[in-house]
Amino acid sequence: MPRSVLVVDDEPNILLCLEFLMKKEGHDVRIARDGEEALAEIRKSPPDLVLLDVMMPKRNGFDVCEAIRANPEWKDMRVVMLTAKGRDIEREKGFAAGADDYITKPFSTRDVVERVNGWLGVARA
Amino acid sequence: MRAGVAIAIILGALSLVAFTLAGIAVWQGAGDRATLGAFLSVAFVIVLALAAIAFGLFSTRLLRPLTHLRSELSMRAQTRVDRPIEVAPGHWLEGLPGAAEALRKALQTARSETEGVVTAATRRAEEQKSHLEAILLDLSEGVIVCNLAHRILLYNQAAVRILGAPDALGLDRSLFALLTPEPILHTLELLQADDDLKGADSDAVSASRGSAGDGVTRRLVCGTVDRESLLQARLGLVHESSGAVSGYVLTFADVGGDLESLAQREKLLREVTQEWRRPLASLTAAAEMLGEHESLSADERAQLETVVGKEVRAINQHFEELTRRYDRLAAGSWPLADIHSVDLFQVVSRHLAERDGLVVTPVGVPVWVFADSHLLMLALEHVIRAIADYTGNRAFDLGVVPGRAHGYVEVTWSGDAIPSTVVEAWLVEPLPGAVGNRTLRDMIEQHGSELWSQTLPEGRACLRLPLRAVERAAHPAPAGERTERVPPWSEFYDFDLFRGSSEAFNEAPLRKLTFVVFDSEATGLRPNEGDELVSIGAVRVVNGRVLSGETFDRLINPGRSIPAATTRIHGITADMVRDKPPAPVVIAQFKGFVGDAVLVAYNAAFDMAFLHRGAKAAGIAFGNPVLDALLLSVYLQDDISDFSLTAAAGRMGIEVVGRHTALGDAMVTAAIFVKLLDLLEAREITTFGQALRISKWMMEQRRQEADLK
Repeated sequence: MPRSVLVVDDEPNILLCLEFLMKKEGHDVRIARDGEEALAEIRKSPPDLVLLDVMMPKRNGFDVCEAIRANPEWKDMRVVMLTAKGRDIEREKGFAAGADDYITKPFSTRDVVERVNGWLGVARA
Repeated sequence: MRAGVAIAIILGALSLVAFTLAGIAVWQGAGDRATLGAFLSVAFVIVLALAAIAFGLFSTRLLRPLTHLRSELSMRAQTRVDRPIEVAPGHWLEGLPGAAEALRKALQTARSETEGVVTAATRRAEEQKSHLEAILLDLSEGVIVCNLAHRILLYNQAAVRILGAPDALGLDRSLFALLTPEPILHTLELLQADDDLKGADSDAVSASRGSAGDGVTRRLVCGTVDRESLLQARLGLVHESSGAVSGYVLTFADVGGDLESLAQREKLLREVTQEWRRPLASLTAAAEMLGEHESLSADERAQLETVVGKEVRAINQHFEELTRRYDRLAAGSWPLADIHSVDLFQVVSRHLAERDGLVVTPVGVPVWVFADSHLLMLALEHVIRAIADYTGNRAFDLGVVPGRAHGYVEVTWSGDAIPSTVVEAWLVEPLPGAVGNRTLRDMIEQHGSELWSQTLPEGRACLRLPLRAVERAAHPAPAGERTERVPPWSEFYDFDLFRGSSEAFNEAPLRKLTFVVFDSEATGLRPNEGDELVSIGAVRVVNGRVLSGETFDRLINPGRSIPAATTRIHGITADMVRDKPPAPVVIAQFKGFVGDAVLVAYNAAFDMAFLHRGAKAAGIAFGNPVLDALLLSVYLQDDISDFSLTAAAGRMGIEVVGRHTALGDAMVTAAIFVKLLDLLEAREITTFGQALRISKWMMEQRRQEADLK
């Protein structure tokens, strides 16, 4: 059964790239351009994994992550944060907000794919 | 003419006259020549005898005493002799010796007074000199004072450091063996000219000086003789009270570090602007080719794509490296310093209590962190006030949770975590009282930190701020320290240690009790064989929290010598306890601190033995219930062999600071004890009575083991 992934990023190029990648891996992909769109999409139909950018207008990644974790129905939803800040401390902040994983930009696309597949429990095709 | 000669002549003349007169009288009266001759001879002899006697008397009663007095007086004039002037009695000098002695005494007094004044003045000068030296020592700028012959009169430690401890830097050495003379001589000339003008026309003086000086000093750049460094310096003239110039003062700062960091930044920027042109150029070219030319062959396409991939990877790598270097640079240039957490937290606590009526309790083991003290204090106060406003809470705990590379400053309260949007909003507010209107975000950036809120178990929440932890040189373990500080079973174990308490107390839940965890240091390991306490340290634990702001820390005069072996362990010397009170006094104070809390120690029997003895001497009784953290941990982890305090702390991830100081060990024991409470709870031991039973049982076990040995 194909897994569903929601990609959230305000950077159109990144969005394009990641959407393409996830489709290639055979996942069901949806996109959102900011935090509010993301939560709307999640409410419509909860995905298995959310690729969540941190620096976004309206509601940032931490906020969205907290909102996701605040809902017990979504406790199995995986949240992988993408961020432009690379220090160890930022990772901890992400985990404190409830993220499952944390990827720094610029990232290697291969790395993203591996991690996503890993969290979804899918062996590499 | 000498007095003796004069008197002799006078007496002789008198005798002659008398003799002649007598002769004339006889010649007139007597006719017979023979009787006349006989009479004259007799008269002559008599007169001579009289004269001799008179001379003798004058000599002994007048001449000799006068000579004696003269030599005494001249001796006193020439050197200092404190023996009184005395003339043998029986002289005809009347009050002259007395007057001479009075004069001598006056001279002696005057001399002593002068000496006293000179000594006092010298001492004052010495004091001033040592004050000056102390100030100079403390300056971070190098200071060298020279006389007009360019000989060094004074210099400070900073000068030695900045100049790299050269051999040529010493008193009475020439300054020009260290620094090149031309800039200094030139500046001295200018300063002298200023000086001369000062009396004349002050406007002309300030005009000529411009921006190079401030009226008293002039800036200059001088070089070291070995041409290794350039120093930015200031030169000022030293004037005597008369106004004449007696020397000059040269001050210079160590700008090496600042310049270095500036240079590094320049380098970083330059690298980006210069080094990245090339890869960006090839990237641009390849990308344009791929984008705009559809007529590329598959091969060509593949080649260009490889170029793009390669250059992008290279730029990425370089970028990561730059980021790392920048992070390191950024951290180094702010005025951060080592801060002792509990000191800062107590200040924060006091401020918030006084100004906002909030209760902030410092908890946890104190640690050292690296931060800007003032800014951190402002940030914490601001944040706690904001949390209070948002959640309505009035009580908070403030502590530092040690992590791998960071210490996490944590504000804890009962309630929910704060949403990240709210925390974000706080970040942009300027901190009241911060220099330059710095915001919370500025403070966080400056410390390379972050701020977030988290939920904690049991309905609590916290706000975390990671700070760089500091590796403080731990109290060095003395050579040959025994790994097990626990003494072998010995007679002083007191079976009454765990005497039962009231039924009601036994039912009391451990979590709700107030404990005072304490540790003592002593002159040795035998409380009943002459060893005495030298210090007691303690900390209060309430509701499972270590209140690092409520401590007891006292040195004790043991009333006996402190063996060098024990001083090596606890660092307490006879000097340190010389004017400290004896054990009974301190123990009475300790009793006041403890109240009726439960006493906890690591290997309690040892500490309690000392405590009971001292209490008896003070006439008070320590009726408090006692628990032993060592016995409890033996019960919980009986498969482990090393139960020294350091090992137990290490197992529980507790940072050991101040090992072998009474307060330090008490803090560590308290942290261990709090964790033990958790472990006990996991084994369903929750009341005091249960803990007491276990302690008795463990003690019995250890006694049996010891008997078997």
